[in-house]
Amino acid sequence: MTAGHRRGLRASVGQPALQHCREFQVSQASWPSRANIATSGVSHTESGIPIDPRWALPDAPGAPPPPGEFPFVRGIRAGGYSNRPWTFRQYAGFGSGEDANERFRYLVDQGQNGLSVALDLPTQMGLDSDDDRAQLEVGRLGVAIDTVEDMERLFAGIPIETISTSFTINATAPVILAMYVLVADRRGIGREQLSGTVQNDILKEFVARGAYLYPPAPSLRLCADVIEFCARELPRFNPISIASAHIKSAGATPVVADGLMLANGVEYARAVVNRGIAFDRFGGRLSFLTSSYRDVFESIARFRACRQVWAAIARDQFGATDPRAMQFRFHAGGDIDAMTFEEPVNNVARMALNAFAGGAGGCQSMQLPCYDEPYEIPTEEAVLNALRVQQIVALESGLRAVPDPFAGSYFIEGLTDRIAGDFRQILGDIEAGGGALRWIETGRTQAVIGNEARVWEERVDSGADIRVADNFQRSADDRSRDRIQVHHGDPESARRQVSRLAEWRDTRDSSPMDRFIATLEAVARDGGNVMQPLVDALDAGATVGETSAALERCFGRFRAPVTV
Amino acid sequence: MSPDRRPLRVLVAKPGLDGHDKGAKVIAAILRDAGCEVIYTGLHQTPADVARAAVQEDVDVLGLSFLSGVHLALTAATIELLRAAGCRAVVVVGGNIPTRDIPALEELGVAAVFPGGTSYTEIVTWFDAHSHVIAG
Repeated sequence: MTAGHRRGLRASVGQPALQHCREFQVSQASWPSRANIATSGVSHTESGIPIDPRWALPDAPGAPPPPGEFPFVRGIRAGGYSNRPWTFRQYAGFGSGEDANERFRYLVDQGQNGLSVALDLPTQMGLDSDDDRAQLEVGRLGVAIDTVEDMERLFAGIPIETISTSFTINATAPVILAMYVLVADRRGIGREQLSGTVQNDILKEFVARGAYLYPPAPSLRLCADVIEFCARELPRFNPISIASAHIKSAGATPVVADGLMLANGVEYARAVVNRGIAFDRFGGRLSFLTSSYRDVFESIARFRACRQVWAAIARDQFGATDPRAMQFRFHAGGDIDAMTFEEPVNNVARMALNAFAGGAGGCQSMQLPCYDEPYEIPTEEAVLNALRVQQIVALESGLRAVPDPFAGSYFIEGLTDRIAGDFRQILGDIEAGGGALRWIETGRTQAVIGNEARVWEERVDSGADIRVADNFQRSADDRSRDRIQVHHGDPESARRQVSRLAEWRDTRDSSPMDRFIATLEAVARDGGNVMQPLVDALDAGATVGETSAALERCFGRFRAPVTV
Repeated sequence: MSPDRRPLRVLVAKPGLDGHDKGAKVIAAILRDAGCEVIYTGLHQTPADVARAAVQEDVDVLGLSFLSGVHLALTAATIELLRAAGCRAVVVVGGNIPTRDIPALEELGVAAVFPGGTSYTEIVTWFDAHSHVIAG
């Protein structure tokens, strides 16, 4: 067979796979054998075909710029995951500091390379564990943190100077970050070495999830205090994770949820820029949390569109000049709302699709919901399974070989453009209505989400959206609800937490603490940055509840208008 | 609901610290559209807040919505305060309720439990079927 003959065959048959087989027969020497395939699994396909990491129609008319170049639609890094996959970060935390610490160490031993702290509801709501309103909730959905000693127990034996830690905390984000900084200070670790994230996305709490304390405007100001403090002292720390996942869970469609997330991002950036801080100084540390949902292709296109639109906002609206400050960096969650009670093992398949979309969409870190999460916070077995799903998708599927592997697909490119247009429309409407804060204060955002929630629930109810084993092929005798082994909290650990706190209150010297609390209040009233006064008050023995109460005395408590 | 009966008055309540109220809001809107008069308490209610609202609003049905797992204790506390105040409203519970806890809730006097995964149609059907008894 001549070379010309082979070219003719390619043209007439048009089946590259067949062509490879024929080429293989004539020139085996030019093809790697199984033994020669690089063990990384990154530079060759499963059959040994060498992969050019830049493979992507670079010359096609209208093709987006390559990965790593503005507007980063194809990813923020030129090499994608070729050097390392995304950060595997499963959400964990329950009981007291030592209970959660044990789970953390277990996950790190299993190859998890970042921590994600779940805090209990009292800590999220600024209540100490001995508060009447905290009863029943201490250590239930997350770990209970009252004092800096609790935080020290949580991170005992964990090298916080090298491992990054994400805290899902919003209303009390300034307090929790101040405690983490204090742990580093006490260990002699430089603040500049700390890496991680505080969610600190208070605007979405008013429209979804509901863990707010103070009214929206002072809440936004506290959020900006955290961003400003990190820009000055914690250069490796993400001071915010601007989230759409909760907005979607509250009922918005994925595209609307991401549009609202971007609008919140604009509001936060404006609050910080208005303090005279250049966007380039903090833009590179703004991070986002959006999730993969049921539709794999829409999810991938959504992530691409987010990058594209955010880069333009950073450059054109906020005058960013540093490319890093224009990059939309995101943590990919999964679709907790798609998980079914029925036959919960099936949820693992949903998790794998979520993970694939997150990876193909170029996330920086990922957490998946666990298969038992419709029931309870996950068991150790279920968390390990979620971590393994991430590892399988990242390391076994070939997803790391090429950044943005769906680039050039008519479908994905078209969908990306369409979604980017939808985002611009949402952003334009919100700006025209006075911005995200104004929309939230007047209940407009809540109304949009509420209406969409209703539509979505009716689609599920009617079976228009298929949920296998739930509204489709539901088994009449599924015994999952009776059989599943779920997490059981240890009531003893809540009692221990309360008695430890009582001892803390009895033994501390309260006079320096009272002075620091007074300073905190004065700074809060004068409009100064509350972060260092918080660190000082906590160092002097103040609790999460006491510092939150001090801020409440300055800002008041928010009572949401009830909208149905 | 049949048009010949007076509309049921329903209080949808969200006791506890959890702030996930999509389910509570959607069911409130669906019951309203089904002909009920619906009041929603909003978030972060104590059992005392809920009982007070039920008495003040003179409701026929009190629906409690839970996600975070505190349904047994908060339902018990709410029902105790409700009955102490002489309120005879029928109590129903929805949300993330494990099957094993349903008998205990019924023991407390809960008339119906709608665990996660229950369709909204089922809930409306239940209200329809029981409205003549509830409204007397």
